[in-house]
Amino acid sequence: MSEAVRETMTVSERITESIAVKTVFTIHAFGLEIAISDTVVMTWIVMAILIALSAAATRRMKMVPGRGQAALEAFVTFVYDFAEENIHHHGRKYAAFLGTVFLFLVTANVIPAFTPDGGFGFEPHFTIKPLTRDINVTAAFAAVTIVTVLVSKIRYKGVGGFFRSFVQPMPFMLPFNIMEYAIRPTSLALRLFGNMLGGYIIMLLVEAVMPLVLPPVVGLYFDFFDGLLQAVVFTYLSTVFIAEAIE
Amino acid sequence: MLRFTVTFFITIANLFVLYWILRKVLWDRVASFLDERSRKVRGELEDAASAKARADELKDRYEALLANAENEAEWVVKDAEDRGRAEYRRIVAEAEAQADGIRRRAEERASFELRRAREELAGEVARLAVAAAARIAGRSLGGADDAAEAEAFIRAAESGRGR
Repeated sequence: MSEAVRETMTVSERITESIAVKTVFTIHAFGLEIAISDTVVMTWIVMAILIALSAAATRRMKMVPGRGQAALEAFVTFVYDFAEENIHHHGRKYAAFLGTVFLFLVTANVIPAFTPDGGFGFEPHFTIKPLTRDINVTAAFAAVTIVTVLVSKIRYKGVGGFFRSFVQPMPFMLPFNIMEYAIRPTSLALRLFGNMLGGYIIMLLVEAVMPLVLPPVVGLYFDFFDGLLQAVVFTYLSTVFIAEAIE
Repeated sequence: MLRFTVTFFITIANLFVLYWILRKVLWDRVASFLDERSRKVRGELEDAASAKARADELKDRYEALLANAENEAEWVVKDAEDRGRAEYRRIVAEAEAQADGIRRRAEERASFELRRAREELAGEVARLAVAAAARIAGRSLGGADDAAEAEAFIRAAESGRGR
């Protein structure tokens, strides 16, 4: 969007325009038109960053680690320990999944802070917007989590045990237990989506009201702290749901 | 923003792909590396413990050998002292025996010499007495019978004095 057009927009219009998910390009395959949104493109970028960093970090690991390797080992050990403490003897199997979700969400939530040439009232050449402002992204994560919960429950309790769990502790709990499987992913998705979108909107408002000095300070909370916090909350709740399912 | 789109399915696929790749590249790799290192450290600790046990065993054996060597050395010294003392006693006894033999032989020789000197003296005295008697009697004495007689006389005198 040109600078002249943006000048004529109201703050609310600019915010609405900023948070809108746009189609970057369309793929025609199998007779379908697959619209690739900017959040999907950003997902690929985040994936590429994570894969490249992971490959670089684990390429030449030494028996006596340097600082970087020590930090990596500490993080991986922390994730495995966290999974084992919460999910107990099956925890190790879920550590990679939980760690991947956490790494992705942290990167996705924090990456808008690295918008180049932004801040101090100057309009950036392009902006990196949070992926999690798109409900489809957060819903996808929540769906994967709840499917993991269901599959784990069937795997460790058997099909009979899975269905019996719906009438426990008492048969009249059946509707509530069924609803739980809808409410949990919905709450996971909406919590992440709402928090990240809210933070992003607040940042846009702050930039609109006071483009100098304030945005970097407020951004420390909304871009870094809140992004990290929401990733932790999402990962922790996913861990709790899995642990409850298989205990 | 709140529309349900194909992004939902693409993100699920992306998450699976990311999970699969990170599992290979990050999680399993670091976990297996950490396991290998802890295995290695455990192995080295076990090696160190067995080396220490072997060193302790060697030390015990060395100390036992040392104690035996000390006992043996003590025994050798004591034995040497005993043998030295016995040798000393033997040498002293032998020397005393030799000294006794020498003294006895010297005494025997001395008494033999004394006896011979006495006999020679007695013969000489008899001869002088015969010569003196002949001069006094004015006749020549000096036959074998005279000398034998004089000697018998002296011996009788000697034996009478000795009584």
